[in-house]
Amino acid sequence: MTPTSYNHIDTNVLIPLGLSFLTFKSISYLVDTYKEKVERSNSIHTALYLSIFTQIQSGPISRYNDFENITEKEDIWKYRINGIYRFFVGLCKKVLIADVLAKIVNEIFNSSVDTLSSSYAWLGSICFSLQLFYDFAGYSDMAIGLTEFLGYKCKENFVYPYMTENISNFWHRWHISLSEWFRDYIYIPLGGSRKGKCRVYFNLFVVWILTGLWHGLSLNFVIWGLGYFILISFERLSGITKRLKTKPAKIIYRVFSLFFINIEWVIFKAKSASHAFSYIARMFYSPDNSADKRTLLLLNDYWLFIVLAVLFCFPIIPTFEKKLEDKSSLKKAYDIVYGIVLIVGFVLAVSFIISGQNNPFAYGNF
Amino acid sequence: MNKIRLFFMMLFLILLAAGQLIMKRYNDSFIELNGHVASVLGMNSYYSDRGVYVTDDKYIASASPKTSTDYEYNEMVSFNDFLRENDINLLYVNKPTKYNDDSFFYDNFGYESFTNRNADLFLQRIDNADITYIDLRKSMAEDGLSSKDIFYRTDHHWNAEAGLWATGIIVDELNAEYGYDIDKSLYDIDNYSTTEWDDCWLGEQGKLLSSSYVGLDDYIELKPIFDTDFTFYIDNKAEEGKTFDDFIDEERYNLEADVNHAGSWHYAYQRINNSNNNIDYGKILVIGDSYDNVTIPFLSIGVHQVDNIVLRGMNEDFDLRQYILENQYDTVIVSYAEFIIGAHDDESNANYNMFTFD
Repeated sequence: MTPTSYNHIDTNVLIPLGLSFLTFKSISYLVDTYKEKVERSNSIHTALYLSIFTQIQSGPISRYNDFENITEKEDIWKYRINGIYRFFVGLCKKVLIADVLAKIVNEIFNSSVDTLSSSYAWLGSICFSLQLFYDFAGYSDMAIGLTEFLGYKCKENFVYPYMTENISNFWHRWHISLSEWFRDYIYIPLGGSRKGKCRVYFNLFVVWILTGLWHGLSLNFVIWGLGYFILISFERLSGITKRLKTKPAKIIYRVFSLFFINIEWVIFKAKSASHAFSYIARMFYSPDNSADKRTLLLLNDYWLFIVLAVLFCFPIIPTFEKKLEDKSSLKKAYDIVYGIVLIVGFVLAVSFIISGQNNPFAYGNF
Repeated sequence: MNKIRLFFMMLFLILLAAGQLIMKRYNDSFIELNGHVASVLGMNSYYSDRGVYVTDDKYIASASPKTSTDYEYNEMVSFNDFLRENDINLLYVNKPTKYNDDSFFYDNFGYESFTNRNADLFLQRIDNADITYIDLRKSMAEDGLSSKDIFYRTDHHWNAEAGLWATGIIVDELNAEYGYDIDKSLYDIDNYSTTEWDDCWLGEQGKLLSSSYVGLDDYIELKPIFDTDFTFYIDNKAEEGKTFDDFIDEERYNLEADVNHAGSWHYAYQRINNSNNNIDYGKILVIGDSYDNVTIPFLSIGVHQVDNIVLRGMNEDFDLRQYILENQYDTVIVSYAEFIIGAHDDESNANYNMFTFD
């Protein structure tokens, strides 16, 4: 293909919504059927599993065996109620936190790197880490909630990822359905950890290159994937996660892990590999600190959303609900307050959407 | 089964089902709610993605990126040469924007704007090319006026009083530089009646944000107390027997209208080509912008004929130079708000062609 002929090719191709998620589900269904993990059942159920609208855009990449009907009468109402609650929680996460933080992220990442001060660059990276989580986790909540409301089970996709103890564990908490898919359909078929030490790292390398490429066909995604390969390989080789015994050491390693995860998200978000490295360099050194003022003003404007975003990275609500399990009158009051809060959140979310303050789902492009 | 949760589930379903209807019916209320939340939380940059920033006292401002001013300078020099060859005077009027010092923007929003520095560079360049200009920012400083005195809070335009004041400065320059003999007393504010409305309208910038976020603006209408007699030229037809009052579309002053959808009160004053039957000299073309809604009517009071063009709205076939020659103007005034300097750097900018004087 010559350069001149390339210029005549229309590169604006229409791609069906959720193509990659549909493809991954189809592969898992075919492989599981071949391995007889799945009983061949009626084609309508299979078609529903593959195409259910609640999961088509951005997953979760559920497995056929997990896509079960909720059949018991008691359970179905519990799932329906929790499903709708979950949908509303997801909507609030997406619109009231992710889309608000996106304003900071878009401003900073669209600025010329030359204008970034260290504080400004850090603010952008941390807000992107939070924005991406709330965007995707919010979408997942909505998807899982609707799936359950419709009477089908759905596995979790996020389990408080920023509470991770180490980098390996992060991927047992973040986009779980994707990491499990790569584990079961790439890593394990390649031999997993059963074919010797060198082979393990080769298998990890393949998985992380593919994970990077799945997110986008550009160098920064490859570097992003390789970054996780290096970090996870380091943890395996050094055995550091098992060696840390004391609480302070574990805390330090958690912070270290979050630090590197944050850097990885900068590479993920950047427009190119060179943009990523320039941005990261600015996080640690900037000759021009004039943007520090902008950092302070943005913190002044958005502090509430940033604080809420950080707070809800921790299981505050589930912990609180667990403590109320034995206190029926308090639980009733809590249920009423929680319901009202969700209604207020929904109304605010709608006001944000109507005012054009929302963004498309971040993972819709993958 | 948790009955409280079941009840809320039903409520949520009703909200979802009725969502479309609610959104359509209460669309403006939701926008106001959004603005109110942003206002309560003091989020001054909340609408920065729309190009607007808000100070603590709800004064809306926008930024301009840095420009070389090359295009604007080259066009002005070429246009000046053309006008000089044809013995037509050229006067450039630099109209201020909502802050006369770019440090205002940095101090309030931590963000660099180059609106004033672009204008400084451009004016210095055209000065070096011997093009006569007025920098109204300097006039403001001399007369002790601040930006907040002359600009609306919620709109990017200046008010009618500012238009009268600016026209007086232009008249001074026409008299001093180009031999006009316009009666300055015509621009004395004591010769005008005023009508004032408080908190009556929402400017164009404010409409991007909602009235609950920025509040409403006051408005002052000025009309001369002396007699006037104009002929208006609208769609190539002459309409005689007009007065200054006919420049003003008072239907815009509609206090019953929904402020979010009502027309801008700034445009109550209209730019209309006209001849003044009380004055027998002066034929001026103003190549301007929407700020001139409140300068052209006042300029028309002291000059026989004032025509105006906004290049943004002209089609590609329009030949400006031919138009000037055919109409035999003695003076062309190019009167631009300084944020138009640099607009040619961005093809998508609505003011992209404003400095194209072909």
